[in-house]
Formats: sequence, structure tokens, C-alpha cells
Amino acid sequence: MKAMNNIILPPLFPGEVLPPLNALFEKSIDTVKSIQSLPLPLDTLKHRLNETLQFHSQSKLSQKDILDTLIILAESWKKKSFPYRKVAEEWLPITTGFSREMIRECLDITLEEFKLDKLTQCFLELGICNTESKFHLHIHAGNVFTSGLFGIIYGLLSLNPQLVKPSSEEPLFPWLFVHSIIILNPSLAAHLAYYNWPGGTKTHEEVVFAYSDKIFAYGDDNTISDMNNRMPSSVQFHGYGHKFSFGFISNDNLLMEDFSEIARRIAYDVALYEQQGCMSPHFILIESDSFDIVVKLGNKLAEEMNSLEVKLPAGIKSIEEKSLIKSIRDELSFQSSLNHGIKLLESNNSLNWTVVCLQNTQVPISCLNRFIYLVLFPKKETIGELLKPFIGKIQTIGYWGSLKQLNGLTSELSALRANRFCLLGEMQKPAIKERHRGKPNPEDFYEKY
Amino acid sequence: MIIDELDQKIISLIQKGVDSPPDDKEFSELALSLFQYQFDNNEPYQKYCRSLSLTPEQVSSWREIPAVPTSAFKAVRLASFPPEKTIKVFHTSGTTQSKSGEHYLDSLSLYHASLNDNFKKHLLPEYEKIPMLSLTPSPLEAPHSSLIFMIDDCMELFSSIDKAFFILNDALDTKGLTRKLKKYEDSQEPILLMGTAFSFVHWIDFCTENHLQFHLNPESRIMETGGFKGKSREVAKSLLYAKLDELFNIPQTHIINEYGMTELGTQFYDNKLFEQPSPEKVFKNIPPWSRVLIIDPETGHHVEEGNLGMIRIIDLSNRGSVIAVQTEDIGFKIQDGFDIKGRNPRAIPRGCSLGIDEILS
Repeated sequence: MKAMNNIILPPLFPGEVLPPLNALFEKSIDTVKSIQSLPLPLDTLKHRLNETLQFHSQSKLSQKDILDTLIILAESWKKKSFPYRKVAEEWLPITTGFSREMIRECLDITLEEFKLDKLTQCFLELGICNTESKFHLHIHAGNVFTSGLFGIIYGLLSLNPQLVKPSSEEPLFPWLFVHSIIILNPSLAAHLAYYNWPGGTKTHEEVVFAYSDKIFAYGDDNTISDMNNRMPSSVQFHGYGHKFSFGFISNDNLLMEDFSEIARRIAYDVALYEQQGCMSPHFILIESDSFDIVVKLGNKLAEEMNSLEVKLPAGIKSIEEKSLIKSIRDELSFQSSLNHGIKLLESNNSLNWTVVCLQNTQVPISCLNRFIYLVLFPKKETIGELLKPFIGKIQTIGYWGSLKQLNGLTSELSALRANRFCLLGEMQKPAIKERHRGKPNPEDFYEKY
Repeated sequence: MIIDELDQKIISLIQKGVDSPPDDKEFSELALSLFQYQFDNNEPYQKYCRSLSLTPEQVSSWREIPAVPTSAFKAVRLASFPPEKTIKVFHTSGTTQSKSGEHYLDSLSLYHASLNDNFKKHLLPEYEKIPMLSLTPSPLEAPHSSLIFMIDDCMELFSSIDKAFFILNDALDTKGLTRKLKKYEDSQEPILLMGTAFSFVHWIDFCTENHLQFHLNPESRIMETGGFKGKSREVAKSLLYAKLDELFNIPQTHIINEYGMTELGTQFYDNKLFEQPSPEKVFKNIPPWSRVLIIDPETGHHVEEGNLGMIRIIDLSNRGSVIAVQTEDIGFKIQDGFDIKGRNPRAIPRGCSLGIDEILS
């Protein structure tokens, strides 16, 4: 029997000797039980935070210097041979449960945004920034490993010192990112630190909160609300609870196609991050009066989901996730034996994907892991009325249809207060300026369309 | 086979006792006969079986009998008899977001038969009668609860003159319960306390706040059932048992978990008092009139001992509804019994997406 080890990620503060990447990850992957972080004694933590702020106050870096570093960094991360990328591809499947192919794809689409023109646009939007004497703290959650990245980039470009607290589930990617940036430009160590503490450890939180003036936190609604209640009044708190996304297909376009393109786009949106991101669609509303259209699209989508399994194999699921999928499939299978308005399509001998066609208009929330509902949405219905209970909970609306129809929907979609609008197939590709929460304005969509 | 004949055969198997050796041949014959009967008389079940291409002609073993998901009891009346023959309907607890399920019965004889001996052997093997205090509502307050029906039925048979329910108008009667427990602390007469895990947590909170503790006779016992489904506060079982031990002076060997559900006629109990096993051999006994399969959710096939999967129950006492029920609980086989690891939460978001429970709350 192999002896099992833990990989311990040390904090990253300026003035400390960086642990070499190779030494940390030299262990054979199948002998590693978990990847954890190393908390510091509170006195040491205070000392490190003080030191970092001191280094930062002496930093001579300009926004342009940081921009240049980020562009070189992104180019490096895009290379398959880049040591950090190699570590990420090999080890992130352990912390996220995603397949290696999924990790590659998610890295690639995220890095797409790290281009000179896009970063310059952020830089220009920010303008000249006044630096503050305290940290911008980023508290990440969950296993969608790239989700907090854009916030850090913005923070760096604002010239303020950034402190990253990764999710306890997935501490690795932020560590690799911070480590790689400091190696590339050691002066940036004064601008970017990484420290992880066990979630909910109030003594650590109190110290770190006291050294922060802006906090960006992700988590479930209860955690965010609890954190907000404990914030010192001097801190600007930006909490992001859970949200969901959906797609909308207007009919006229649909009738003219063979569904391949749209099915391919939906499959991609659903598969990315195993549907666990807030930008992942839970259901697609199909504006039509014919359930046959929905089923036809469902069959095509099933084909695409099958094909996509080769390019983006499904990740590892826990027994709880598996049994949840199976329970919901069983429930739908029972209902479909009595009711012709339900069509269940599923992967063969696996729980890798599920497509459910529903005739009754409803808002079905997915159990995730590539479980998507296609819902008939009769033309006489109004989307605003259907989704009224979910106002404020919607992240992205992925759209497919004509500009004319979208024009007619603008006010209804605006009323839903979604953070972002995009084309189906691009739901998981927010622009860097949209950061994690996007821009809440459907008119912006016209520019892109 | 006509209903009376079928019922008689099942009752005679049940009456052999919970400790009689399992007779696979007899169980198999009865299970397949029951499946045929239900297929013929339960239309929604028949449609489901046909959709799975698993009709009585195609099924040759009890292991192959199609299991309905527990959620099916919410979707449709799943009964193998006409509505006018209904004499009792049990409702699942349900939540504000979901419809509750219904289990229809046309006879209580199987229900009584399966619960009484099973209860006695697992909770009161050495007692004929014992004071029974229940941290639940009474049957008057909860007429459609199968748990309350079961507790009331067992109280009728096994309680001494002292029996009482301590949830009134949806609130725990803390005064009444304190008074009663003080009485048994003084008399040192062993008692049986029954309740859901959630009601015990409430009681522990109340006692902690009020600095209460009860030094009951350590031969007293607790039947704890149910989880925390839909409740705001969840406590690990080991912690709950340790707290109960501390609060009542009842050792953990005398705290018995009952696993049952509205959709089933049979209950499953820890074998602690029944067989007095060593701690690593504590599991839930399977009475001879039922079987448990642990199903791999990926393949749908049953798994070997020790492997985790979804708990499927084949229960002959479910004559009036459906013999095979697929639960959403996760467990594993251990020796001749099984144990539960947990229930699949209806929402397990790992990323930043919203879970089902959260969005509906």
C-alpha cells in the first residue's frame, strides 16, 4: 500500500523565499491525498501583512509596468510547456474534480481575455488610480477555479495591494497564479499576496479584515450575509452569493436551421466547468408552440453532448452527486412513463450528461454536472412573468434568435436584472471587463451582436 | 393470487419472527407473486414497468423487480386497489417547495404485523412494558404521519400506563417533558424516549440553555429517527448521540436509530440491543420479509458488500402500493444488514452556481 501525503501550499508574502515549484510537486500524483494550505500564527500573520503594506508603499511600479507583466504572464500561461500550466493541468483535476481536458479548455478561454487590447481597455477604464494603504481582499469559493481571476487583475491594475484567500476546496490555481506573477516580476510581490486560512476561522478573519479596506467575497448566500454582518464599518464589502443562468431561443431563427449549430453551442455552455459556474445554464427556454421542435433540438443536443465527451471528458463525481443525478433521472423517467410531455435523453451507461425536454413551461433548476432542461415556451407567454420570482438571482442570459425579436424583449429582459447578456455558446466566456458579475445592460449586447 | 391469500402468505412469513432465518426461496416466490399482482392492479406502476421493458414475463428474480423512486409517491396515486377501498393514507412531510407524497393502504393488517415484533425485538427485547415518551405530535395532531401511527401503535402494545406525546401545536412541551423526566430520574424506572433527530436537537438546546440534565436509569433507551431534511440546523450523528448520552445518562449502546419512510411498511433498526454487537458490527437489521439492495447509481446494478450506493428496499409489507422502492439515501451492505451514510442533498453546488434548495428557499 502506498504511503499517502499532503501537499502543503505555503503563504506567499513579499520578502520570503519562494518555494521552488518543482520541489512542491515532485510527488507522484497517486500518492497525494490532498492539497492544503499552511496557516500562520496570528502574530506572524500580522507581521507579514504589515511588511507587505510597507513594501507596497515603497513600490515604484506603474500601471503600465503591471499591464506589461500581465501580458507576458498570459503569453507564458498559454504555452503548454510553461511549468505552472503543466502543474495546473496535472494537479487541478484533484482539487476541482474536472478532467484534464476541461482544465485546459477553461484555462484557454480565460487566457483569451488576457490580450493587450482588452487589458488596455481595462487599464483605460480605470484611469489613474489612487492607491490605498490597505488590502483589497479577494475571498474565493467553490471549484470554478478561474472565477476570481479577473477581479485580481483589475485590482492589480488599480495599483492597490491585493490579498487572495482561495477557496478551501480549490487553493491551488490562485497559488500558482500568484507564484508565477511574482517569479516573472519580483517587484509585484509587494502588490499581490496569497494567504489561506481555514474558512470560518474568526480569529484569522478579524486580523485580515482589519488590514483590508475593500473585500470581494464569493460564497453561498448565508456565508455572504454572515460575513457582511461581521464587517468592520470602515470596509467596503462586495459580496457575491450564488446565481444561475439560462438560455433563451426565439423561434423564427430556430425554424430555419438544422439545429446543429445551436445544439453545439448549448452543449459547450453546459459542459464547461461541469455546469458548476454561475454562468452555466440550468435550462433553455425555446419560444415555440410545438413540443416536437423541443424534442428535435433535444435529440440533436444529445448527439452534441455525446461528441463533446471526447473533447471534454466528464470529471469525477462524488457518490452524492451521482445519486442525485440518478434520483432525478428516475423521477423524470417515472413521470415520462405517464406523461408524454417529458422526454428524457441520457448518456449510455453513465451519468455524464442528461437532456430533458419539458412541454410544461416551468423554471427547472438543474442538479448540475451536464444536466440541462429544454423547456417549451409558448409564444403568448412572457419571460418576465415566468422568471419574476428569480429577479436578482440571474447571472447570464444566453440568447439565440433575431435582432428584431431581441429588440422586442429588451424591456422584459432588463426587468430581470440579469448581470449579463450574450449569445448562446459564449455564456462561459465573459469579457474581462465584465469580471465575474458582468454588465447588467442588455443594450450592451447590441454592440456585440 | 387473490388479495387475502397473498396477505395471508406474507403475514405468515412475518409471523415467523424478525429473528427467523431468511428463506430466500419463500421470499422470492412471494415477491414475484406480489410483483405480478401489483403489475396487474397498479396502473401507473404497470406503465412504468413497461417503459423500462421489465414486465413479469421478463423478471425472474426479486432483484430485477422495477423499483419506483420515492418521488413517484408525490406524482401519482400508487395503489394496487381502487380508491374506494382506501382505509388509510399516510403523507410524507414534504416542504413548502414540494408536494408531499401519499402512501395509500387498503388494510392495516400487514402494517401492524410488520411493525410490532420488529419494534419490540430491537427496542425492548427484555421488557414487556415500559413508560414511553415521544417527542412528536400525537396522532390527533398528525393523523397522516406514518411515524406517529407507528409510535402510537407500539405504545398501545408495549407502553406501561405512562405514555405521552410532547409536541403540542407544533411546539415542544418543555415543561411537561421536564416534569416527566424528573419523575423518572427520581424513580429510576427505565423508560423509552422516541423522537426525530431534529426534535432531540431542540430538546438538547433547551436543556443546555436551562442547565438541565437527567440522570435516568442507564437501562433506559432512545429511539431516534429521521434526519434533518429541510431543517435549518444539522448536527452530526456522533455528536448528537454523545450529547444525548450526556444529557440523559443513556449509553450509546441504548440509542437506536430507526430507518423508515412513509413509502414503506417496514422499519429497519440498529441491531445494538437485538444482538449486542461490537461497535464495528453495528448495522441495520433486515427483517426476513424484506430485502435491501445497494445500487450503483452509474450502472444501476447492485454492488458488493462495503461499497457505497443508493439504498433500494424490496418490502413484502408494501402489498397495497409497490413492492420495490428506490430511496435517495446512500448506504452500504454490511454482513446481513446495511447502514446509511446519508441522503443525497437535493442541492450540492460546488461552484458558484445555485443549488436547487437554495433557489427555492
